[in-house]
Amino acid sequence: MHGALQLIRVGRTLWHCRRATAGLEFALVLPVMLAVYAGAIELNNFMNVYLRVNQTAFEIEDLVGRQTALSNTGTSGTTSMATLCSFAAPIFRSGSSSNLTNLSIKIFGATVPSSGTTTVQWEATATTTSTTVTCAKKTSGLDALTLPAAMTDPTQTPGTTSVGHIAVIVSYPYATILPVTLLNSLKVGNSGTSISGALAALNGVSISTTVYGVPRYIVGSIPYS
Amino acid sequence: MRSLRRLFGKSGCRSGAVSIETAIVIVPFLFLTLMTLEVILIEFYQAIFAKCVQDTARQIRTGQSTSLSTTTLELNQLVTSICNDTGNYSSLPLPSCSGRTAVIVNVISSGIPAYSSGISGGALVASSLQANGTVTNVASAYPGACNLIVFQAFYRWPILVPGNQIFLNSGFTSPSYLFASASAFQDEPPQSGGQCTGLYN
Repeated sequence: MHGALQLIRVGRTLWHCRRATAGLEFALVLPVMLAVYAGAIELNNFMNVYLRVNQTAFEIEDLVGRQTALSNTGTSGTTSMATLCSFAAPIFRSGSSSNLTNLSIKIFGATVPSSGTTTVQWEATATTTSTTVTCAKKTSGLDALTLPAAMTDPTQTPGTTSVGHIAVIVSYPYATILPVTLLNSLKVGNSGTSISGALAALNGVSISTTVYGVPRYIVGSIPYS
Repeated sequence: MRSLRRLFGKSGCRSGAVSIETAIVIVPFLFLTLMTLEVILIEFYQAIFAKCVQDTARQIRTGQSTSLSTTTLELNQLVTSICNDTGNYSSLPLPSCSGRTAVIVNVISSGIPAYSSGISGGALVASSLQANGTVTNVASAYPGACNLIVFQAFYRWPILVPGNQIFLNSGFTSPSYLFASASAFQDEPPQSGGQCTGLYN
């Protein structure tokens, strides 16, 4: 009983004490400032990766679209898909922090027959290491491709049945620097869901860009031998 | 002795205590504020740099660049082009831009070139950007029509705030944050024929 009274007395003294207020205020503000700092770095990294995923998709589509014949390694008058794909490495590199291991690239050559259903003629996918990217034609189990409606609409695309299409899908799982496990332990909203649900973007979200195009110099899908 | 006791003694002087507290606290406060500001500044200029590299890559691609008027590619002119361009997007150009920018133009005619993801891991990048911050522009042949070209540009942002010098240094002896940007494209200067066919086997 005596101890409790003493504690209360000490607490009351501290409550009314006006010394070291600047230090106390700073201690309150410090976590916020650190969060803003970490957030600024996180945003910087995220924007960097986001822009590079976009640029990689656009530039590979542009390179593929200007070819008239493709093959894995560029034999007999064709362009090497492996070479075109390898350019993703310098484009995607972001300072010293990039790692290409998880970069995914899918390149499609497709046609739209009169039935209006997209037919994938070929698909090339990337194999990556931490520093290199190379692509090869997929021999089986081609992924499905859905072209935007306007690209398969005969009224909007003259000669739809003979027009070839290109689609390039680039995706990358962005890893955060902020402590996601800490964020996960917090609960947000009245439903009490984990913050990772609300901030899924922070937990290794897959940044993905799809770019569509048509072969610039030939009619139909670009032949891939 | 008496004056010391007056300052530090139990019932000593208490005036100016708030000022002293503030003086102690303001140092880390300002550091954190400046660190955050520099990160934001880096973000801003990195985006500008990437855009300017794209602009210059397009000049090579279309034959617009004056550095293509001769038989050899004038790499220093490409650096000047990037640096002048940054002035178009921001009233403050990049600090010491021309001295801290390096470019590499690779003209690919066959084979798969090797690239590194770091600043010291691969021959291409290492030959251009040394750990001590020395910048050497890698020479290249005139990129003829229809060649595949990889244009890479680097800028070393001088990190000023001490805290950031630890967290953001890209591995340089003089603390710097590396901006790295690249563009890959097929060259298209005016030519007869108008299209490129299977040149890269």
